[in-house]
Amino acid sequence: MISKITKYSIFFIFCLNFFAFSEEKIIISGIYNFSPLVFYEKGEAKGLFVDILNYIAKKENWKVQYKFGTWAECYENLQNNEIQILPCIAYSDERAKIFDFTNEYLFLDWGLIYRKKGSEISNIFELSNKKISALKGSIYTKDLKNILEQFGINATIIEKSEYKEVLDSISKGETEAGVCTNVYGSILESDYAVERTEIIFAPTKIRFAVKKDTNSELLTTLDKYFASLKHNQNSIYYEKYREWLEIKTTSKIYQWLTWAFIVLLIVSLILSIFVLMLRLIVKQRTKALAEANKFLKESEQKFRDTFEQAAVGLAHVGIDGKWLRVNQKLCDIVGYSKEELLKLTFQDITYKDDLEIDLEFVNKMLQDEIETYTLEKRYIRKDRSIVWINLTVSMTFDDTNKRYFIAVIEDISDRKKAEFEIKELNEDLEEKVIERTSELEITNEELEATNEELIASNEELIFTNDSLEKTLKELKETQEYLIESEKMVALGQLIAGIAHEINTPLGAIISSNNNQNIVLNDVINKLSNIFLYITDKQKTIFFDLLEKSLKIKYNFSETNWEYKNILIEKLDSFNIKNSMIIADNICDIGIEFDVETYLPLFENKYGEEIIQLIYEIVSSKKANKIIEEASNKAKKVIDALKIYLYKDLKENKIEYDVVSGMETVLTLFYNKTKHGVEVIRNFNTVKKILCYPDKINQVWINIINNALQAMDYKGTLEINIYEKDSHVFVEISNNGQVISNDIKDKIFQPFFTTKKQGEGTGLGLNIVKRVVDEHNGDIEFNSTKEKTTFKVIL
Amino acid sequence: MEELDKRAIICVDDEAIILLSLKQELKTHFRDKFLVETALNADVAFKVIEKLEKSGFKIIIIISDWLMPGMRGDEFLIKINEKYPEIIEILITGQADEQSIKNLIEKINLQHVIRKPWYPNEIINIIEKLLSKVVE
Repeated sequence: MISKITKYSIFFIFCLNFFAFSEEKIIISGIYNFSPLVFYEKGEAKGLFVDILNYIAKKENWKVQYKFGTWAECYENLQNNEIQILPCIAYSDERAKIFDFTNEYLFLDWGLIYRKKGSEISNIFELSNKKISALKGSIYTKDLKNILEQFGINATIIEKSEYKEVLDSISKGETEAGVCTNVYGSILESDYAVERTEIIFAPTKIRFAVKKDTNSELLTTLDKYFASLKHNQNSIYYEKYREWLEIKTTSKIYQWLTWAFIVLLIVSLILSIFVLMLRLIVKQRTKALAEANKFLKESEQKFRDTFEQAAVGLAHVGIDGKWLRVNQKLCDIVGYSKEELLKLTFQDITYKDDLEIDLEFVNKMLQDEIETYTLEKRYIRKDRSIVWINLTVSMTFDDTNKRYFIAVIEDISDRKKAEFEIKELNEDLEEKVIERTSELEITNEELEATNEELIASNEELIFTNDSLEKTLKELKETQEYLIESEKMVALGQLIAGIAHEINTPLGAIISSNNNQNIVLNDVINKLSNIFLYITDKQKTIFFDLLEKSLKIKYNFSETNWEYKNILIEKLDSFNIKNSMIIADNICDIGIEFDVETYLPLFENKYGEEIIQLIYEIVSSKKANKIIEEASNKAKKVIDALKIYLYKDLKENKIEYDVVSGMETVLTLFYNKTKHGVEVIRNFNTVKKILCYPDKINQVWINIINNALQAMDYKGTLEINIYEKDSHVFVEISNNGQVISNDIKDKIFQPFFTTKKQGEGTGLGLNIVKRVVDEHNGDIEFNSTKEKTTFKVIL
Repeated sequence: MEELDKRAIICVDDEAIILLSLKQELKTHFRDKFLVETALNADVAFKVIEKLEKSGFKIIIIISDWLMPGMRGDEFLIKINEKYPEIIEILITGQADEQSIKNLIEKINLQHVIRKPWYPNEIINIIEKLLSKVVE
């Protein structure tokens, strides 16, 4: 089944192929005017090559379409595939790079030079400096250019796009000569006022061409036909050849002439090549000679230039010392002109002290002991001044084998001058060193003297230091005194309040004591009297109430008016006089609620007296209690004062409890704070610190005093004491006036105060700072609208 | 008890020991001549005055401390002077602020200033003198 399909497929493809071959193949050919080989006339392509191509096309079932253009256009079209084939194109190696040519050629042509009729141009050299018109892109044009170049003939080539234009330009005199091909020229020449010269060149084989590597089949086919056509004398080729070219070559003689001419041409070509080669050889040799000559000249010039323009003096000197040749630099060095110098010897201008050594060297050289020498010596310039030079001499021979010296002379005056200056400076330096040494010796002596003075003044300084130390000690003492006096100032401010604190309990003590004296006497009298009259029941009640009363704990409370009134009414109901006073006494005794016990007293006489007696006895006891309490109160204040005023005379720090210290200080301030200042104590138990307690207390007093003043003794004073990181922190805050920013830096300065003159010493916070510093503590403060806090860290 | 004898002395001080001492001293001396009442501050004092008056007492003397929490003594005495010009006022003070005392004397015709600590009978003598003047 499969093989069947394959068979059909193959058959089908075969049919298609057959069909394709049977169809006309269209070939586009270029054509240009090159009569009689190819040309275009009345819309029809004609000529020998066209006939041959058409003949082959007919045989091969091709349809040839001709595309007309100039030679240059055709040439370009073939390159661009616009046309497949170009008949009638001369072969050249260069063209073979881009085109493939038929092996066979159909015509042999050559280039020739036309001149204007009557012109005398007859050989190639006469083309020199002439204008020559030629076809652009033509192989003959290119060849002519080569020939002209080879012969060194200078001519101007004017390129045209058609041969007709070439001949036209000659006949019009635009150019003096022109290039045309033999065959085409023979067609055209009769139409123009031109004539052939004897100059012929570049015989070429005219072939067909296709673009390189394309249409090779076409070329093969053409070659096959060409070979057979050329082989058969009776073929269409020869027929057409005769037809197109026999216009001129009607006879066999002409044909012979043609062949003879060709032979001649080849001979002349060989000859011209020979001539050309000869000319080339001559030219090359001439050129080599000229170059050698030029090189010599240049070398000579270079040498001359080198000699003349050298930056150093150069001279040839005869063995007798005569200057033979000198350069300008040397003349400049010695100040003579060349002419003057050439009349002198080197001995003439050498400084006499330097001559001997120079001559010694010269002799040595003449005896072949040395080959060269270098010497620094002096010349006497023409103006008699001396110039230092560095001379280097060697010896050589001239053409006649005579010896002479070559001298190189370098001006070293500047260097010599510098050397001299250095030497002078050196000498000067040495002098200076000596000078300075002696100066130093003097200075040294002076220094020793100064040193002694310094030792003396040092002793003085030690003395001054001692006195300064003394002063410092005094100052320290003053500081101590200042702290002490500040303490006194604070005390002065506190004393009024403290006095009150002491006066109050004192008042109570004095009053109670006096009262007790009176009462006691009274009680003893009354007791003995009253016991004579009162009933036994009353006696029992008396002792009962007395016992109870004395057991009542002393406690001050405000009068219970309601109950007092009830009591008064009850007493009134017994018709008791002075019910008011009795009720008051009962209340004062503190037995007011024990109505059932004391009311029976009033059933008999002397009830009032019995109550009075109990009151007095209780009063006496109360007085004792008041005295005790008042004394404690006074003692507390005195203790605080004592602590405050205590001055530790010992140098050593002692243990101090910040909380109890602060309590002491607050006691002193009690009178100032109790009316209007809320004191908030946030006291935590803290470790005891080693300090000078009187000084630390002073810190608290100064800060609290400032705080109270800042809030005008109204507001909240908050004190926090706590321990953190093994330091004791004390924060004292008040909600009074803010410490304004502009004085924040100054508050610890001594004698800075915001208080009126006389109110503050301005030392308070300064002492605080100093005391805190003395205890290696720290003090910070922060003041805001809400509160101002001083934080002391110990 | 006769109506005429229903007289009272009021003591005002923020210190209880002072009040107790004063009361004892006055009661011991004057016995049933006067009722002696006490008040720890000005507010309480006004209440006491009110009660006593209701009960038909005539307040003859007010003895007041100077420094007290709340209304101060001088202020209190000025108010008393305005309301009860007939009450005799005695200032008792532990502090010697002479200028303030002078001002007060001028303002309320204060004639009696007792300084703490007072001497035995100092207050009694003053009151006796005052009473004799009143009787006259």
